[in-house]
Amino acid sequence: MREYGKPLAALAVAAVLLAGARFGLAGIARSNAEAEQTAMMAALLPGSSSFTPEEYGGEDENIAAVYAGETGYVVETVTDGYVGEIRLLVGVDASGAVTGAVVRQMEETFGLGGRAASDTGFLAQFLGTAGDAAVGENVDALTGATVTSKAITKGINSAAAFVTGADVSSGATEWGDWE
Amino acid sequence: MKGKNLLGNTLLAAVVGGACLIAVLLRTFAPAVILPGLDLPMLALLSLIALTAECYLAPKSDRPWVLAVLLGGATFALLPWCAGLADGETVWKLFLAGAAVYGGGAFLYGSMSRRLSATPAGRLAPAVSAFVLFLGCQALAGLF
Repeated sequence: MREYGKPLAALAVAAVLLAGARFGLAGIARSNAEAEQTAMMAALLPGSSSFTPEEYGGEDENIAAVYAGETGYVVETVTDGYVGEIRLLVGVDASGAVTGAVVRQMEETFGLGGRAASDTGFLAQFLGTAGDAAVGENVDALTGATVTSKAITKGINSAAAFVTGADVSSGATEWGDWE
Repeated sequence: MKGKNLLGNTLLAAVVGGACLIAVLLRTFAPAVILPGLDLPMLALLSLIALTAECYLAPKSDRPWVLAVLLGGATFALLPWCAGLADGETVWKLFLAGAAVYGGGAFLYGSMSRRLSATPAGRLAPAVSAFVLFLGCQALAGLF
């Protein structure tokens, strides 16, 4: 019976250590995350250094948050990828042109869709687009990851459409539906 | 019960706890890093690391299956929750998925490694078995 106590003890010790680390580091984690997010948004939207969260009341379900900068907006979008949700930050200048995009969270397949997060060549294709990005037309999909590529395209088009004021029901942000 | 132990579960707690601690540290000091999700391949990977370690440390050990499976599920539910990687809604899913993956993995892994270890090249058998099973689980997860 004593043998069976070891895994329970290991589990309890690990749980206590993890909870301690989580709550002990919470303050540092929060401030680091805020600083990193601001630096990331400044890189995505050249010419802007401070960002103000704005409430989004539109109909586009892909848009999760909006931050206004001096030269445009950084839009956070969430779209459904092949495995799970893909969360993007997209910089869009005042004219509606995409100035940068970065994947913040995804669970796509390692070696296939997962490459979207680090393939700068793929993401660079969206620079300068204004809601008109389309896989197979002006965007080359990642090999073996068409669904992921379309999900990212959809998010970036939604971000641009927010700034240009395009009607979300016109197809500008519906493009990319594969169902 | 004689000859049976829960070494695999002790190692699983260490492996999952270590992985969760790495995730907490990355989330704190490198918030830009995209952490992999707690999906089936990840549960399988962590289970197989623990099972491989168990196989090298105590090759002939057997386990009380019901208790081992329940503890496996509890490990995958409790530790990510304590680390803030899973919320209350996800914990039950993790418990069920973790129990199924650890139990299924232990059964399949044990069968494979015992057969492979009967050959002269048996020293690498546990690691090879784990690798093959992980690839199989990844392919299976891609079907859903």
